[in-house]
Amino acid sequence: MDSSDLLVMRGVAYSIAGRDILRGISMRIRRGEMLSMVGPNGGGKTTLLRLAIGSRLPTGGSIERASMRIGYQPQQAQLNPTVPLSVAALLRLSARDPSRTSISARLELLGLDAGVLDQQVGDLSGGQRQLVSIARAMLREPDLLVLDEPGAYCDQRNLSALYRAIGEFSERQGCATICVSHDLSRVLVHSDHILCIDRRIVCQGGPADIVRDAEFEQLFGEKAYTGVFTHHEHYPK
Amino acid sequence: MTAIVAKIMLAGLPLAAAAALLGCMIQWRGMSFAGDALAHSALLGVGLALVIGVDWRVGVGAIALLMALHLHAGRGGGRLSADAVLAVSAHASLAAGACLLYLRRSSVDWESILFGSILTVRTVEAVGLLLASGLIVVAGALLWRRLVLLALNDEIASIENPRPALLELCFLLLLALYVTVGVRIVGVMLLNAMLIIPVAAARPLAHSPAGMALLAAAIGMASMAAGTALSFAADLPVAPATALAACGAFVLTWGWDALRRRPAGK
Repeated sequence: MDSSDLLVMRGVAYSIAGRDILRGISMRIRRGEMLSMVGPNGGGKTTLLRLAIGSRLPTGGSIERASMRIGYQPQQAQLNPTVPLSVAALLRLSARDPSRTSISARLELLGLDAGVLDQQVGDLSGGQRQLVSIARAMLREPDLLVLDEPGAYCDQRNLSALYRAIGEFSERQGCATICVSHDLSRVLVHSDHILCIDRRIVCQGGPADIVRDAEFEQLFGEKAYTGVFTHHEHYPK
Repeated sequence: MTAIVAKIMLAGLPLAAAAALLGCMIQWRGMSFAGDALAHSALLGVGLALVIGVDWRVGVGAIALLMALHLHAGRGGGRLSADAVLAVSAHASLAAGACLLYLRRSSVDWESILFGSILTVRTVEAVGLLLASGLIVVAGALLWRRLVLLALNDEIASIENPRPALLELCFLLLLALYVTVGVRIVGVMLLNAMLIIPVAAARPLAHSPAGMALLAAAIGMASMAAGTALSFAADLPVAPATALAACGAFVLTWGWDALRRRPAGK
């Protein structure tokens, strides 16, 4: 593990009751890198994410982590609706800088109106809750931003803007980002490195290389990622 | 009459405040069965203390502590769902406690064990209750931010809080302390009621976690006072009358909420 590494996994395995969920995972995450995980449902992407952030322990192999602060957006932005909490209070709970200015700046970056701050978390729509959850992770001022399907509730019109906002934040903050996504098109445009997971690393590489990988094509079908680009986004060359 | 009011002020009201704080966490985390398991373990504690021949408070404290450790060790589940494990623990301790007490039935005041007896609390006991309740409230307030995060999403909490397992253990130990001191006031059967009902009554009025805890404390305290008054007026035991008063508050707040949310024109 060198100074540019935030996290290194070597031969990591995870199993439940003797059933392999993941095996032979070796990967590293470098500072400032945007790494995306793609793969079929049930392939172990979220489990790998949980191993990376330390909320699960591997049953085999080793994980080395640099000292770092993690900002985490869980899958489906699961925030307990029985806790009466305004969005402002939720964001202040984790923010390194809890000032109204800082909080509003993150919301603005994600295209959310500041009026949402006074709403109760339980009253938010799925899409709003997702964006608030991403803003909460960003307000941690993390070294590693971890997003589990950030675009899950986002409409197609705003998806590109969301991925651009995440990229802009990561660049400004100088943090690495791990993102689990089913949105191949955006992943190919916005990632530095892509891991294709189906209980193991099926293939990996930069966007330009991975689309030429036979296993990638076999898993997702030929040109499965086409058709969602806007006029200023381009397929990897 | 002054002595009774003093006991309620000294012992009952602080206990209601402690129950509100713990009850919020229990409700947000869906741990009602954990409250039941710990409350019912008090009966086993009393039974064991009588059989062994030690002070009943020692028995209740020891068994509540063991139950807290058991619940902590069993968290995370497995092939049996967490609430099934908790329910088995609750009913096992209730049944074992009842059998042990039956063996010593000549020396058992069932009503006082099951429903508590604030009116017979001695001054020194009341001071002990005040101190224990104060400890729960202070510790809960110090851990409050972390506990709220844990209730919101345990995965986020496990990343942002150092040692989340220790935090859960601290919470269960505070709950065990509540059971140990609370059984004297509200009894085994209503310990969990005082954790659950005032908090549930506070929910429609609350806009923040701290606000919910404060409202629940106020409702718990008002229920304690109303329950005592009701027990004098209708010659009822204090604890069930207190639980009934809390249920009244629950009906009022949720009824008001239903009216407030009713579509206009209906």
